[in-house]
Amino acid sequence: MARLSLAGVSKEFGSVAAVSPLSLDITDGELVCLLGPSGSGKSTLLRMIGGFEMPTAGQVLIDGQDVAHVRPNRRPTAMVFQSHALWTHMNVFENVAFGLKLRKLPAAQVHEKVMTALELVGLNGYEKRSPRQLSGGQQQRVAIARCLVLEPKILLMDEPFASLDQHLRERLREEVRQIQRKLGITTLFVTHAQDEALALADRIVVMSMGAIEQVGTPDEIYANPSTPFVAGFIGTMNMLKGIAQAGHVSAAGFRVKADIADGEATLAVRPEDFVLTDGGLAVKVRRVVNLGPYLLAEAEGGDGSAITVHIDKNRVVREGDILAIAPQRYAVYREGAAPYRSA
Amino acid sequence: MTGWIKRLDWPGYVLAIFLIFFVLLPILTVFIWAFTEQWFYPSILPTKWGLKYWFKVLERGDVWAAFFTSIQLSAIVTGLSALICLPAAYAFARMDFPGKQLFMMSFLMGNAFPRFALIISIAVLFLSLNLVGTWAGVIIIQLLNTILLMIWLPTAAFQGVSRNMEEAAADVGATPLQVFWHVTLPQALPAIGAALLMTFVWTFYETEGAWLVGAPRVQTMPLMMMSMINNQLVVQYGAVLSVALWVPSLVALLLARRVMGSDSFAKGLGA
Ligand SMILES: Nc1ncnc2c1ncn2[C@@H]1O[C@H](COP(=O)(O)OP(=O)(O)OP(=O)(O)O)[C@@H](O)[C@H]1O
Ligand SMILES: [Mg+2]
Repeated sequence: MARLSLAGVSKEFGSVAAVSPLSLDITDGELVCLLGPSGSGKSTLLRMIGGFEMPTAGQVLIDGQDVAHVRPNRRPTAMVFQSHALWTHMNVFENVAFGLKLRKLPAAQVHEKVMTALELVGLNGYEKRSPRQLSGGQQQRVAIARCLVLEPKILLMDEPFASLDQHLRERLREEVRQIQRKLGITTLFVTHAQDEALALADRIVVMSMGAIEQVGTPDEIYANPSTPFVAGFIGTMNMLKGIAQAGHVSAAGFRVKADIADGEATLAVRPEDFVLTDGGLAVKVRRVVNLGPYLLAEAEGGDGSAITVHIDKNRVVREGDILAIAPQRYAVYREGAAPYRSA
Repeated sequence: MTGWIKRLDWPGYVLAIFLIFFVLLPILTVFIWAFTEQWFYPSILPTKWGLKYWFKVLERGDVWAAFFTSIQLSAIVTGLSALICLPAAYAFARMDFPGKQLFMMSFLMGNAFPRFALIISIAVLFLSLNLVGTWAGVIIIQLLNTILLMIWLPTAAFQGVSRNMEEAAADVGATPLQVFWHVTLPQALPAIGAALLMTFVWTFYETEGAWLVGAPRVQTMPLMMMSMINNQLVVQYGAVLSVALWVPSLVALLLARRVMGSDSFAKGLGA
């Protein structure tokens, strides 16, 4: 329904730079996840889009119109808070109807819209309940209905399912995904859970310390993390410190080809990207965990560094075994240079 | 409840005995006296029960006059206190201004000061302002007494309102005034109600200020009661008035608990 552009947006709280100047374009109907560790500025960024924080600098453009200094009640955005923030002195119906009543819609129309919205989130029959009489998941559904009933141009969600258990989280994120697809509503979803971002997003924005580390589809981000931070943050990655010299990198006893300038470098290999091969590095298995589809072996490399390897479950591996492994697919990160990726 | 009784060990017993002697027994005595017509010395209970003194007290015009004076005074003081203190409480809770901490502390300090000494010095000041013996004087001195309660409780209540709830209201289109009216105020209402009720009841029973500034021209109910207890040989007048005054405040408090729900009431009291 709407295009969102951030142009050089930043936010400082006193001397703390919560968000450094950043730019981002989100197309109509896209679902973008803001992913990052605690304190990386995700909420602050979202709150600037919703109008709850004024940017220190920059523009927030919705369909080309700068709303950076418009009050939240005049913005076409709607926000779902982590703490659902339902009004406990109103029942479910009144919560969802409040925004419509402020718009002075006739009662019959309010009723119809509220019922449609509650139906959309699977809560028909709950109109008369107090928010206190609902489970955590139901409360978040009401909060979502309260936003959707106003047909906002942009839906903002700040860790909406963080306080729910894993099972419920997975179900609700599927529902959010379906509703978002059905309505085609441009959505920004904040999370610090990578599985949530990978499952939900059209594109992921990885943030760290108030800056954007990488923007890309879940596949891109997982397969080609562009910085060591992203590499270490998304999924499991062996980050092995080493030295680059003469077109090769040596780390943890491995020596692999890497077309990168000489100096300190980090060899990054995913556990599933190792192969067992006779010519490989001999590593000693410290621990084996059965993860169902595969075994996860924690091994010790040549210089004592820990290496995590996925192994086919048909293979018998025990603690103390020696495995010969080699990275089949890897990346090398070096400060001040673009990462090198193996073919 | 039974668990509580079971856990009652010796400090509990001491406390219970203490409570019986210093709280329940006096109240019981007052109650008995209120319904006594005759009580000769060696007898443990009254020799003749009856409602005679109730009729006698209720027949007196000065009692009713004092009652209405007290009701009016309490209503005016509570209303003025709310008018002055509630906006201040909101400002304390939600706005930042220089000297805010100092302000809050000054209320506490004023109340930590021995009250009687404070009231006397105010009475002396009022004397020079010709406020002694006037309604205005009594209203002002009682108003001063309510400020701590009417600012601290509602400030805590406003501070307790979730910011996200207010933001959510703004988010669906409410102007700042609408946010206050539809979300902040209703959320803080139980605690504010508790503060209003306590202020009213407290003002109704306030004695020292009313006595020093108001007496004898402004005759409130507690002053009436005091003079009856002090100047009359018949104990029953004072006892009847005590019971008659105790019942409405108890009913008011019980009602408040019911209306507000015990949990939010406790929250209003800072529990
Ligand atoms: N109102 C504020 N005043 C001062 N500093 C703030 C304020 N809000 C946020 N910050 C600071 O800004 C930085 C970013 O905070 P933010 O809440 O945006 O992080 P986040 O990525 O949402 O973290 P989390 O995952 O824990 O929610 C933090 O260092 C935080 O301390
Ligand atoms: Mg956050």
